[in-house]
Amino acid sequence: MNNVEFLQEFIDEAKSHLEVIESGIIDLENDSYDMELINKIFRAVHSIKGTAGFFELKNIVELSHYIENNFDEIRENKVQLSEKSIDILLKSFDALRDLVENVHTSDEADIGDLLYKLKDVFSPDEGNETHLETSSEASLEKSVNQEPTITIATPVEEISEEVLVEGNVKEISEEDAFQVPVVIPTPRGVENLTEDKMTGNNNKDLNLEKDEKSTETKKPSVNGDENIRVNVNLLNNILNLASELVLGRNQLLRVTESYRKAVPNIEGVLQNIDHITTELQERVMQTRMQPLGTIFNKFPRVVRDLSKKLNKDVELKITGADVELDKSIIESLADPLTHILRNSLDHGIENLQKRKESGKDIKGRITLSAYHEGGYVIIDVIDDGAGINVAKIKKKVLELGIASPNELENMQENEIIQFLFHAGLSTAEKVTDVSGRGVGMDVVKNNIEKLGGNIEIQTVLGQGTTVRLLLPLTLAIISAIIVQVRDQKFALPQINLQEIVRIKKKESARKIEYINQTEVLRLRGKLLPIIRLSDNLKMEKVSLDPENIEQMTSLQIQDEQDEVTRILVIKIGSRRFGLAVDEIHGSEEILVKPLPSYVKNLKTYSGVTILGDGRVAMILDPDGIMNKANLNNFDENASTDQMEQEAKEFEKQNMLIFKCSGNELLSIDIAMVKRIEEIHTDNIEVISGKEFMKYLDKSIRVVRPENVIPNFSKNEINGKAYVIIPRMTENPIGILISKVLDTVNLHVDFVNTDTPPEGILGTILVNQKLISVMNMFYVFEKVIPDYTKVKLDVAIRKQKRILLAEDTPFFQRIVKEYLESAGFYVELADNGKKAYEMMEEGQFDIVVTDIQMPVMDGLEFAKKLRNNEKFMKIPIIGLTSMTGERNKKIGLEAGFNAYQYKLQKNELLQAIEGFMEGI
Amino acid sequence: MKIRMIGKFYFERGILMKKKILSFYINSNLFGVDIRIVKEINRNVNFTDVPDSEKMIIGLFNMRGHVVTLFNIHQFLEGDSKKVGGKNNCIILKSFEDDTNHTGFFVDKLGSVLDIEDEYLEPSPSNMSNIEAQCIEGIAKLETELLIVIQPERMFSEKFYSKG
Repeated sequence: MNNVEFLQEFIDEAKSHLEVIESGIIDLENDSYDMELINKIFRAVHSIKGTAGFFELKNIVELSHYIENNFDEIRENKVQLSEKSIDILLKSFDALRDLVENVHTSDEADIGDLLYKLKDVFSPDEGNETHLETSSEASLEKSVNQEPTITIATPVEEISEEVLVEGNVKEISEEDAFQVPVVIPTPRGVENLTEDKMTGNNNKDLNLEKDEKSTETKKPSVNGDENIRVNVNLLNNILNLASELVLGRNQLLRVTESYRKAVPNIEGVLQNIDHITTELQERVMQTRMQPLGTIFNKFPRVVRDLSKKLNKDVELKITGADVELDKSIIESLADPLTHILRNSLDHGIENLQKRKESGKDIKGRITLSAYHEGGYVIIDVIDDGAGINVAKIKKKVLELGIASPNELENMQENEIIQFLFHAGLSTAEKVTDVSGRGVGMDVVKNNIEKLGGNIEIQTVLGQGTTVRLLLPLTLAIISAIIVQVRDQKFALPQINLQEIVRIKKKESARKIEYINQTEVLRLRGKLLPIIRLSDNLKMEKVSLDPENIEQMTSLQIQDEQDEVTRILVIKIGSRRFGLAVDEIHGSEEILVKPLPSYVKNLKTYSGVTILGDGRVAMILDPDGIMNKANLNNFDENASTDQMEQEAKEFEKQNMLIFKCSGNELLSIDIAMVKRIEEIHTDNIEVISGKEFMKYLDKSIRVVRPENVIPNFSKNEINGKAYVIIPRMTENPIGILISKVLDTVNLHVDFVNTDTPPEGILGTILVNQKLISVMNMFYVFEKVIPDYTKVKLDVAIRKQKRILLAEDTPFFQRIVKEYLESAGFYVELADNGKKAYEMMEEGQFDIVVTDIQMPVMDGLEFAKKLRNNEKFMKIPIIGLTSMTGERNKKIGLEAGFNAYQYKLQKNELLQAIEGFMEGI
Repeated sequence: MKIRMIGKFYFERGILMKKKILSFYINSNLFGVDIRIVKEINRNVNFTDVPDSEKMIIGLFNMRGHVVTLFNIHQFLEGDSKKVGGKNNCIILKSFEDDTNHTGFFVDKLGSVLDIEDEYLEPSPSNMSNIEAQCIEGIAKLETELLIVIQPERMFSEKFYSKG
């Protein structure tokens, strides 16, 4: 019985071909002529035919032959497919699938009708076609029900004329059935045949064939499924054991580490075990995951058939079919999703008339999309239909007495929408056989919740409805960052993590501040609310293990000495917060396990996982943490304004303080630093007198400031040193320093010295110590001869007068310095008001202004200039230390001609020159 | 009462109903559980605390890939929340409903497995509080002490543990 084996292979193969055919036909309907597609379908049908011929499955051969012929015709004659012909093709496809699935009885099914119809797909005879459809349903029904006992013959021609005359298929059918006394002796057969389906049956044939069939013994049916059914629990167990095996392997590797040399050949054995274990785990994981496509693929057909039935024109768009979910979840999703889709089609999308009236595209759109978010897989079913009428729900709720009018009064719209999930509630005015019976959404909700998921509905009346399924990644693997608080490790899904900020208590540049007892952190111009994980989880709960208590206290002590807080910046939707933890251990791919039911009430966890050391770790749920911390009302924008207010008063710089070879304390603005690399001086190579180092696979020039800037004490730096990689240079260079001392956030105020030495912008006082602020541009210019890119002649530049409005001494000096070094004449104003006065008195060619200034800010200054006829055409360049599109827009509206970043010397110079040329 | 009656029923039919009870000590009192619901006894259990959880829950423990919820049985039986028992004596029970919910608890000292005839398993005395009584399968009078056979699955059901 080798044939049985091969036959199974044939079924599997045919099934994959069938999938190609079905999706192909559906696509054909949308995109009526696509040679590639037709060829694909043709090939698939042809292969089924070929293999079926080998097994002498004559019905399959015949049917596929006819289908093939049709596609041949389409291919040759480029026939446009009508909806009718698509219907027939789909039906014959259904029949073909039934035949393949019941391969043993396939030759007993009768496909005469279908063949006849297929012959005639492109015939213009409408009536004929209509009738044929009816009788094809009979044969279809038959094969679906796997009733091998009844064969329906094909005396179609006889009645087709009558059909044409009457023009009403149903009437004829009934009449016909009445006239011809069809007697079917098997009660089973009768059950499956409705009156109108019996039309045109030749009962003699029927009886005869029936008797033949019943004498045959039923062959064991070969299941068309290529999979072995395995209990999910068994798979879970295997998965667990595989993960444990990984842990066991890790332990084994650790323990045997020191013996590896002593025991011969152990190395190879261990490596082998290592690889096998890894592979085993991967394979086991795979067994459970399936792409959502396996169920999504069925929906185009569902939507197509249903929209026909409802006489609507609906397009289904599917995205994210490759998102993988646990098999058990996928399986349980098919029904709820079908239900939601049906709802969208039936209630959501309006009928053609209504759509036209409301000015919508006649074609309704339903989008089915799946994607990962926040440790969940989200499936959205979005329609652009009528939306849900909340008033209708209210009415229904009152009718059914589910809630009192008083209660309804106090409810938010989304709470009222929740009633949709109430058993027995349907807003459909009339019950159709598609939906509207009021059972369904409650079942859907139950099913989704059983999977540990959630369902949400958002609706806008007249615009559409979105049904969102949030599904957990049970048994899925996610990337998580392992954090520690006190003595305990937690996993945090990386998907929500934006960045990590490290805060030292001593460091004044970044510190946690308070607004109404809430801890906040300033992060690039925004206030970030801080949640301490230990507080959020109320971690004062004392561990009862004496050993642990000791550990914990020692940890706390260490903590205080260390005084480092690590803040994970987490974003959920549009909200952000910082989660303060003690330690971060790096990221890991973790296996998500559901929470034990005993701790399910804790919303701060989304699951558990087992870490590499074999211990359980809780997976944090950022959403739950945020809700628990009551951060919902934290308005990021409101506090930003407050922040901006403060920033206006104190424009501070973050200064990096370091030492070069000498003992001088030096400083530069951190904004100019891209990176600081640790380096060993031995790794610096000298090529023709210049020093180079490796940085990001490139060789970059290393500069010792003491060699460039005059009057610096020169000593040798040996051993460990640091290299500052600055921003704002096209060809990167590195600045060699011996030590990084600190970073300070301060309002730079230069100690009064008349003219600072070359290469130094000035001197500042930090903690009673004098620190020289290095002029980076000076260094760049010395090292890269053509660093400053100016085109205009020096003589021309010398004639140009620039008004610089800037309040911050640091920027006053740095910008003025590099403008002057480029040859321009620069006059300085402290604020907008003063600058305006100077404009009226003096003669300037260009205005360069800071935005944030006391008394009158740059925006107001620009507006005032623009309102004065005299200055309407003067170029104004806005300077900012903050970048952002929003600022830029406001600035341009106020009248700036250009917007430049303060520390980008070349860009600013180029912009100035650009305007000068124009003058 | 019910259990006792069932025991009698079988006894009358000539089948002696015996139960194997795993006994253990909490403080110095002897307790026991039906050995059929015990999955294993684990030594050297490295559990993880679940911050913010109910007091009755000590933490979670990884038993070969299964997450076991550990309960503080001291709290329930002795009202002693400070003590959880020795780290080396952890009784892990078979899951009650499905595979995801294994439970376990620490005991101070493990005793032996005793054969107790249902006949000798008496219902809890009537002066016991209702909640406690519901979690006790019966009390056996041993020669020197009383053995209280508990029903942990009841104890660990939500209505009890959330009260701890």
